[in-house]
Amino acid sequence: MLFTAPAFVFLFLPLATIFCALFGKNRKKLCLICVCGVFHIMLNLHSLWNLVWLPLLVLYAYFAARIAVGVKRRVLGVAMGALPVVWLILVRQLAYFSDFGYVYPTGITLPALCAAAYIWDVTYGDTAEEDFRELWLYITFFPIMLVGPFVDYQSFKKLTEDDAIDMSLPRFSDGIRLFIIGFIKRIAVGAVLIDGYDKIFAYSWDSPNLAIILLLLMLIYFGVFFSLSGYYDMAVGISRMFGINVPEVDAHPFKTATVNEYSKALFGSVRTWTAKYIVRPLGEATGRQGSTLFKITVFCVCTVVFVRTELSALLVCIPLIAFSMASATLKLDKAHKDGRAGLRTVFGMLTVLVIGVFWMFMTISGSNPSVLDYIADISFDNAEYQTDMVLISFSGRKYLFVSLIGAVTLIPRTKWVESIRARLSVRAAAAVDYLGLAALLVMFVCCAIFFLPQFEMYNYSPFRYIII
Amino acid sequence: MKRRKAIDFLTVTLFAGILLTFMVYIGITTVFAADRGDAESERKSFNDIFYGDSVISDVVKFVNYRIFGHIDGENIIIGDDEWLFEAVDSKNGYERLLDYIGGCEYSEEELQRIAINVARREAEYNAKGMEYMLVVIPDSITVGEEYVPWYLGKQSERTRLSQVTEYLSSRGVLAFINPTEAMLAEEGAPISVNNTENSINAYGAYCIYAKIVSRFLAETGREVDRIHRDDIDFYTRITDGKGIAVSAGLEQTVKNRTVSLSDTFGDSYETVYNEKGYVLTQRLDGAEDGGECVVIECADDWDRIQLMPYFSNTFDRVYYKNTLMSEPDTSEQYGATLVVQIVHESELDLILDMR
Repeated sequence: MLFTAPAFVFLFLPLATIFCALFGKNRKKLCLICVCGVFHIMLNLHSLWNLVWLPLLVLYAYFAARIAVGVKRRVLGVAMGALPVVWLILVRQLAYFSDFGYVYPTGITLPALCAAAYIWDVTYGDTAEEDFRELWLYITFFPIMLVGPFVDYQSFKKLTEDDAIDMSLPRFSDGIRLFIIGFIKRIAVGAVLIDGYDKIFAYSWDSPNLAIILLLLMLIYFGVFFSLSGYYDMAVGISRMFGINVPEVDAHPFKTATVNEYSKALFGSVRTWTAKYIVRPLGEATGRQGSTLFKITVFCVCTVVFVRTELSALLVCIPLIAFSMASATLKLDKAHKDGRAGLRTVFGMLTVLVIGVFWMFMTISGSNPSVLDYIADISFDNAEYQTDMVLISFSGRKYLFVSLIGAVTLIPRTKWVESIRARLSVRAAAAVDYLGLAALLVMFVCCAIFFLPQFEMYNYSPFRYIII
Repeated sequence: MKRRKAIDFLTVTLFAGILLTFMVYIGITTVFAADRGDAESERKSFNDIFYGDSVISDVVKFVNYRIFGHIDGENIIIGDDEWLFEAVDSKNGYERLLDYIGGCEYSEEELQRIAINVARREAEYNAKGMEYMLVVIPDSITVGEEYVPWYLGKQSERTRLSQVTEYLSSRGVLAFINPTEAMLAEEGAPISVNNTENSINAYGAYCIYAKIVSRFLAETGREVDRIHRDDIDFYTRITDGKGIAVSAGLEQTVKNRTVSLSDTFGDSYETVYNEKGYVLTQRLDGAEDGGECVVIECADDWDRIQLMPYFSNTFDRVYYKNTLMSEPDTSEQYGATLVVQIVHESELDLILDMR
C-alpha cells in the first residue's frame, strides 16, 4: 500500500508536486532527481542496508555498462547484467525465507530489472550513459518502481527529455484522474475483496466446501486484479503528475479470457522485460524463437518467480503453461478471435478459476502442500454453517457498493462508452465531464475517509520517520 | 477547448484542496494532541495519526453500519430493528450460530448424562427437604428470533436447549426450567432481553421469577407474597449500546432499548451482607422466625441484579451466590426451602459436568 499510505498521499505527494511546480520550470529533471532521492530516503530510512542498495545499484549499472563497452566482450556484459537479477533473488531469499529478520526493501524489484536491462542494452550496442544523474533518474524513478510499467532506458530517456517533461495543467490533471481511479480500485475494491477473501478463507480452512472455494477464487481473482491494475493506474498517474507521459496500462478483468491476456494486462512489465531480455536471446541461442511452448514456458516461469521467488512455486507453472497452450492452440487470444465468442467466454470463466488457484497458492504461506491439503479437504460438512458465516460477512450493502464502484472505474474507459460520448452534443458532453469529475472526487474523498482507515493492517510504513 | 481547460483547472484545484485538507487536519490533530500532553500521541508517525484518529474511526463505523448495514468483525450478526447477536459467545466460546442452525446437537449419551445429573441433584435437595430448580436463561438469539436476519432462517428445532428441554420433560425431570415461552408469551409486553447484548432485562427477569415462583407454589403449596404482573410497571428508555455494540465500537450508533422497573415499585428489603460474590437480603417486614428462605446461585452478576427486586421482595431471606458448585448441606444450614441454580443457554455444557 505504498502509494495509498496516508503519509504518501496527503504529505509527500502534495509537497513534492508543489516543489516541482515552484522550482521545476527550468530545472525539471533536477527537481525530479531530488524528489526521487527524497522518496528513496524516506522509504528506507529504517534500514541502513536498504538505504544503500539503490544508490549502489545505480553506481553498479553505471560502471558495469562502461566496463562492458570498454572491454567489448559480450559474455562479460551479459554476466554483469545478470548480477542485479541474481542479487535480487538472493535478497528475496534472505528477506522471505531466512531467520535474519531482514526486511525486503520495497520497490527494489523493478529497479534491479531496469539496471540489468540497461547493462544488457549497452552490451548489445546502445550507448553507455555519460551523465550519472540520468541513470539515477531511470533506476530510482519511484512511480514505476513497484509494478511498472517497465520502460527500457532509451524509451525512458525520450520520455524524460526536457521538452518531453510537460508539467502543464492538462497533463497534471490527467495524472490526477488516473491516480484517483487507481486509488479507488486499490482501496475501495481490491483491498475490500481481498479482505473478504481472507475472512472467508479463515472460516473455511478446516473443511471448505465447493461453493465457498468458488467464491474464494472469484474474490481473489477480482481482488488482485483491481489491486494490481489500481497500482498501474496510480503509477502512471503519478508519473504524469510529474510531467512524464508513461504509457497507460489497459487492464479490464472481463476482457482477459486467457492466461496469456491476463498476464499481458497485469504483468506487462515482466512480460516486456522477459520478452526482450530472456525469450529473444534464449530463443536465438537455442533456435526456438518461433516456439509458442518455449515462449509461454519462459513467461510463466518468470511471472511466477517475479511474484514468489521460491522453487516450490514453480509447480504452479504447470497448470498455467497447460492452460496457456490450450488457449494458444484454440486461438482464443484476442488477436485470433474470429467467431469464437462462446468458447472464449467459457474459457474466460475457467481462466478466472485457474488464476484464482494461482493467487490462492501465492498468498498461502507454507507453499503447495497447504493448498493441496486445503483443496483435498473439500467436504459438505458444516456447509450450512459456513454459508451462514459467509452471509454474515457479506451482509449489508458494502460489497454491492464496492461492485458498483468497481464498475464505475471500468465502464468509462470502455470503447462503447467512448463511442457514446463521441455522439453527444457539446453541452451534454460538458455536463458528462463535470458530472464525471464530481463523481470521481466524491469517490476519492469517500475512499480516503471511509475505506482507507479500514486497512490499517496494510499500514506499511514508508515514511515511518515522518513524525510531526 | 475552454471547457477542457476549466475541467482541468477544477480537477487540480479540488484535488489539491482535498489533499491539503487532510494534511492540515492530521497535522492539527497531532499538534493539539501533543498540547494536551497525550502520552499516546507522542512519537507517532503521520500514518499512525491517520489510522488512530477517533473522528475518522467513528465515521467509518457509523457509515459501515448505518449506510452499508455492515459491521467489520465476523462474530457479530446484524439483526433487524437494531438487534445485534454474536455468532460465537465472546465469553465462553459457545458456538451460538452453529447451535441456532442445529449444528451441534447433544448425543443421546450426553442427554442421558444431563438427565442423570439434574435428577440426582434434585433428589439430593429433596432429600433434605428443599425444592430444587435449574433454570436456563435463553440467549437473546432464541428470544429475539424474529429479529434474526432472514438469511439465517428460522431457528432449528434441534438446538441444544430445545433438545435438553424435550428430553428432560419426557423423562419427568421437573427441576429443569426453560423460561423461553414465558419470556415470549405476553402480547404487547416489552421484549425480555437486551437488543445489543446477550442478557436479560428487568422484564425478562420478571418472567423468570414468575415461572420459578409459580412452580414453587404449585409444588409445595406454600404461600408467599408474590409479585403479580399487575403490581408492577416497566418502562423502556433508549440508552447507549451494550456489550456487543461496545465490542463493535458502535455504542453511540446502535442504541439499546433498556427495559427497567418503574420507579413506583418500592423495595421492602435490605441488603444484610454483600461481599465476595455472596449477597444476603432480608425483607423488612419478614417473619420473625426467619420465614421463607431461598438460595439463588447464578454466576452472572447482571442476572442477580435483575432478579433481586423480585425475589428479595417476595422471600424473607434470599442468599445470592455467584457459584454453581455449592452443596445441599450449605443450603440446608441456611434453612432454605428453595434452591435455584441459574445458567445461560450458552453454558449448558456445565450441566454435563455437574457433580
